[in-house]
Amino acid sequence: MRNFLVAISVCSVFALNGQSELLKSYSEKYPNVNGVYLNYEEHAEIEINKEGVPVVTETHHSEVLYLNDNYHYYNDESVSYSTFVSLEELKPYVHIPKGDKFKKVAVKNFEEQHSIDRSIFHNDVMKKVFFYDGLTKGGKTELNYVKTINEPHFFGNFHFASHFPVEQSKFTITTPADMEILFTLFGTEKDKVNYEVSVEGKKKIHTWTASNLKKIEFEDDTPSPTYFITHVVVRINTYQFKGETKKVLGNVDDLYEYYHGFIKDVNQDETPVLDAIADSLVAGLNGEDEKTRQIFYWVQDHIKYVAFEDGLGGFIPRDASLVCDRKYGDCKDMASILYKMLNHVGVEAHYTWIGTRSIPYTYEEVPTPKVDNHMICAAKVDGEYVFLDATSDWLPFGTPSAFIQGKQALIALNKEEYLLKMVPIMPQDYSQTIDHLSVSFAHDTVLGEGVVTYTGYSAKFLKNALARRTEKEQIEFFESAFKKGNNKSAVKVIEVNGQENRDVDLTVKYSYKTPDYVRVNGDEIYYNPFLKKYHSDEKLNLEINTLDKEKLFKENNVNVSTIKVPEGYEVSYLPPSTSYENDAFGFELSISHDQTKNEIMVGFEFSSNHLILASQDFNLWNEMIAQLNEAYAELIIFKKSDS
Amino acid sequence: MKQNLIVFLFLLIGPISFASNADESEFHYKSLIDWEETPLCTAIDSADSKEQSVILDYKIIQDQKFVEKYGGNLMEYYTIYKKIKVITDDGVESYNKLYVPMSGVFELIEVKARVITPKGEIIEVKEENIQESAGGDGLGPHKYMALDGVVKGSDVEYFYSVVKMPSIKGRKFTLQGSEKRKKMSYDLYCPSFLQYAYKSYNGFPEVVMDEVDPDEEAEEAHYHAMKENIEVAEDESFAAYEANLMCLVYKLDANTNSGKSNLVTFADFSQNVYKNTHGPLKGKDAKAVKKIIKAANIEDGDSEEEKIRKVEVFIKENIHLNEEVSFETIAEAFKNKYTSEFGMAVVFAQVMKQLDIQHEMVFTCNRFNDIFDPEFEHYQVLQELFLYFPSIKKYMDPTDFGNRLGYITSGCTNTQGLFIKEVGIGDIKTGSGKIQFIEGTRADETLNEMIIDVDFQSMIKPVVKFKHSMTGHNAYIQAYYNKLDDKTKKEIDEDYIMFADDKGEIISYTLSGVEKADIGVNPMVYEGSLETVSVMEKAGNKYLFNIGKLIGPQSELYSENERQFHIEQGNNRVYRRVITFTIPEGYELSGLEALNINAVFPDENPTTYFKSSYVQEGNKITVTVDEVYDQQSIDIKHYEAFRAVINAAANFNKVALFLVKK
Repeated sequence: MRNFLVAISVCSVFALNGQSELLKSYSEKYPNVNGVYLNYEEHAEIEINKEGVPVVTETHHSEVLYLNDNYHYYNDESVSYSTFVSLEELKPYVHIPKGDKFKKVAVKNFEEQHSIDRSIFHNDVMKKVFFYDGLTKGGKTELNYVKTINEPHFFGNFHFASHFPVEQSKFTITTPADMEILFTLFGTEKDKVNYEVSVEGKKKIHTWTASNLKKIEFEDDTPSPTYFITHVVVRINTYQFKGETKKVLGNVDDLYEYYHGFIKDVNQDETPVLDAIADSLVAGLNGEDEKTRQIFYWVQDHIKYVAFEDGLGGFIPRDASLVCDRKYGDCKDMASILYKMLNHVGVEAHYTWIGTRSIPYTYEEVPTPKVDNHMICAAKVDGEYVFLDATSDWLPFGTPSAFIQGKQALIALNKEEYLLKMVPIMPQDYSQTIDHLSVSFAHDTVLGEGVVTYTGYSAKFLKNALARRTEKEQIEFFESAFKKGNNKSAVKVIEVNGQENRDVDLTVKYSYKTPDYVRVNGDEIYYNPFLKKYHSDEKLNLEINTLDKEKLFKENNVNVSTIKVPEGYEVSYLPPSTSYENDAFGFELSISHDQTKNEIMVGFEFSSNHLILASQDFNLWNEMIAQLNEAYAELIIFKKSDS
Repeated sequence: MKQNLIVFLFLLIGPISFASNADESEFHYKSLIDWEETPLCTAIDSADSKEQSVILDYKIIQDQKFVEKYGGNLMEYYTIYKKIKVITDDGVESYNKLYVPMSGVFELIEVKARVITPKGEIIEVKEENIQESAGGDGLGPHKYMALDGVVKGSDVEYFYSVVKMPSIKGRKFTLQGSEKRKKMSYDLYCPSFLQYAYKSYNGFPEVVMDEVDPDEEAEEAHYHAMKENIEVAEDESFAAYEANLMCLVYKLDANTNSGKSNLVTFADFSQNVYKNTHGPLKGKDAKAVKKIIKAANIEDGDSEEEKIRKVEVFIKENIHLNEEVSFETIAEAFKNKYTSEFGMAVVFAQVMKQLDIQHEMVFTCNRFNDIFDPEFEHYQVLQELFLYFPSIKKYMDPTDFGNRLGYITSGCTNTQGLFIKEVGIGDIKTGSGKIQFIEGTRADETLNEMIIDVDFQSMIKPVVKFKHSMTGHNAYIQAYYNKLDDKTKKEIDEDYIMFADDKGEIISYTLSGVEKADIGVNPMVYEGSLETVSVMEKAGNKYLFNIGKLIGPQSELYSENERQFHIEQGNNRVYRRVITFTIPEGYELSGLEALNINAVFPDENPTTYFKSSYVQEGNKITVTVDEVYDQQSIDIKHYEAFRAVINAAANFNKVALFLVKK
């Protein structure tokens, strides 16, 4: 339990009849937000220590004014620190309004906590947690702290925008005059950022300022906020020490040199046990292709993902033999064991750094550790690089994990050489869901059999989901997933194939029966052939959705129904075929009557040929959904032949 | 959870001070746990091959003794032992990491964990690989370790033993879960002059005490119970899953040395609660109470209910719940503008006392999770705290911002509770407790009504005019609505408005009933019009009017699986729908008879029913749907009747009418 006796005197909060001028003016300017950053500032002082290493001292100052009754959602705060970033000073204040003035009260009680991220098994991030006692509407919080970054490669970036609008933001860096700083600006309002540099004596001062920044919006399925937030990434290029020019992170060469230090001492020992495993896996196999596949699958199956982020341990892969004994590891441990096993069997393999799709930068734009967050193994198989990410369960050999598609990979060839290579984006027809359905009628019930085939990523993610269920749960999953028409629909799974094999498609054969779906009106049967109305509720409200949407992978969905014309009936009405197409998405719906077989074929194909759905295309998307819904409202009518 | 509150009260009762005598004997867990030198990996039982993992052996061992090192106090050496057969990848991932909770732990005696692989390797966790966390982000302090070498088919075996203060006022162990338990055992050792009382529920055997030879003076008593082959409990809809799991509860009942029996009673609890919530106030606290009353704007002419509501609005708007802190004083809570759950209750209680408003403190548990058994008094069930105002027969939750006077978490109604009221003469006051039934709100106090008029100007996209009113539990969002940002408000509006057709286009709407004064008093009402997109289907000039869809998506119980649990529902409620439309000129309407549905339970004075019917006056059709649930718990033997009502609504949802051009 936290003990939080903070000595502030009770002020007459309820005697405030009128609002302060400050509150009034900002409430008018921002009628629908909870707070506003009056200022948001960071100052970085870079000095060279006795050992010739740049040390960065960052001083933070910010003030937030709370504009409405939701102030209480913000009365707790925390500031984090870790091995590389120490927290030197922490001075938060609450400003309690009294008329047009404020009573400034220092926060006195802090609690140290472990910053627990449930997706990471072990990390070294700690935080100081505290409460802003007495915070109220019209009140302010002020946060001041000083952090020291003792590893200059991890410096630095600054966000100009935040979850509240920002009135003024300012980032300054003071360096020795002979230090060279490089920077890159990102974000939707980067044009608002003003940069100046000046020299004062032996110091050089870089200043970035911006004002009136909009609050960051959070919406469903968007790319990571880093794609939108206005921010600057800075790095130290060079500095002078004892007459020598020292390099830090001027370009990718410098970053690589730094990174190579993390891998150079790994896997130097003999690994007889692991070698024996590798040998046994490839015994009798000749092609690099097959050897790599076997080893990749073995690692995927036998090494479980357990993440460690602890100081340099967060950057240095563990020895392959240790990973093998433990049977668990993080991404770089999996890269390490793949590297070791593949090279042992004669397949050229390399440690490879990569930023997942949550990071928007290329290595050239940001040659600093902020560019990546992941490590994989790149193997040269028959002259081509294959990206092996064993953290992704059920990923077939030859396919990159979905979350690194289209990203740049930094492949470590040797001490001096590296390669930058783009990871391919898998095309839409790689990942398909194809459902073939037979349809017949028994009074108001529709029934038949279906065969669904999943390919590519669609198969991978489904196989993964199935592996995490008991057999009973797997059956329940399919029975629920294949229900169609209405919630009375009952499904029986007949056969599942390919579930255990990454290299083949997953197919499921099932039968279904949906009562109360077919409408019988006298001599006529009304039947809506769209038992499942895919995407029908995906219209985007443009007031709620303003940011681009992200998809995990491109895909195609195909549904083909073969409807038996009921005995003694003839087709009296058939809906028209229709389609919509552009580069990013579209559908094709075709309906035809095969007179000889006396069957109606309904074909529906929906293609999502994009990883990012740009917000300017939302209108087109909505047009398509509207057209789709019109098509879904069409019925087939069968009429008794003799009437 | 309000567990904090219990802890708080515990401390007030004071330390246990029996005659102390340090016991240096062996810990019992050492003999109970068979930690073999070279264990063999067990074979997977064929019946278990389709499970993720199976618990082969699970022991809970409580070993209580007076320990000199701890001031001669009664301490508990609490040991958990588990042996698990890991069968699938998911099983591996669940058990290759181990966490040892360290909250309330004075000392870690021993922790051991190892993996026995199917190849027979035995890999023990090394002490240096055990990490420690101070806790944070909702997790308490804990030790944690990764287990090396876990593969499918491995046995994972571990135990830890820690020193804690014993829970003597009431504790529950849930003994069934999402994994099969091949063997589940419970043991408690304590000095023989302490007598524990036990009760088991849902099929777990009763805990028994080892018989002792009356001629020999045994120093120690041993309580135990064991069950083999406990199956996985499957969840069901409309059921109290947690409360239906096998469990045991216990409390310290007597001390034969001191001759005291019936040690844990609600009577003591009531007196303590009263003392800590209603004690005399001094200085700053008394002032804070007066300030709250003044700021709440209470006027002389206000009725008692008006006064309570004003106090509730003021306190809930100005003193916010903070589950991270413990309560200090009313003055602190008022100044900081936040306090703990217990603090919220104290603030309310003292303000009500100052206003001379008669009230009782009510303690209970959520019937979906725990069983409030009037036959077995213990504190574990006293988890949730409410205020009860007998003059207006209404409950209030002092911490819930969404539920206002008259409405509390429905799981805490329709169950027993401990009602504590003030008794005494003159200035000498205390609290007296009584077990009483907490009535749930009536169905008509939680209304969801939709008045819908369908206009067939467009045959394919008819426009519906709607008025959607919600009260009570159905309007829970009312209190929060104006705290939301614009986008979230729009999303919520869409959800309510597009109830009738989630693909529709909103034309216009208004929302009322979300101002501060409306909360818990006036209905929340959406009124407007919506162009439907998926209500009509067509083939040339023949139309299908899916009128059933207009009542929105419905729960269903179509599955034929055999029912295992009684029916347990949240709050009572009424759904009322009135749909009107005029048959469009030149069209013939058919299929109306399907709108007449009648499912009721029980036949006499039904509490639970779905009734729908229509009236035709010329070309105008009026369809009325009344769906009522006015009974929160229903015995399993009436399941089919209950199911018929739920499915009647789901069936109505599928009704379609034919509109064919003449």
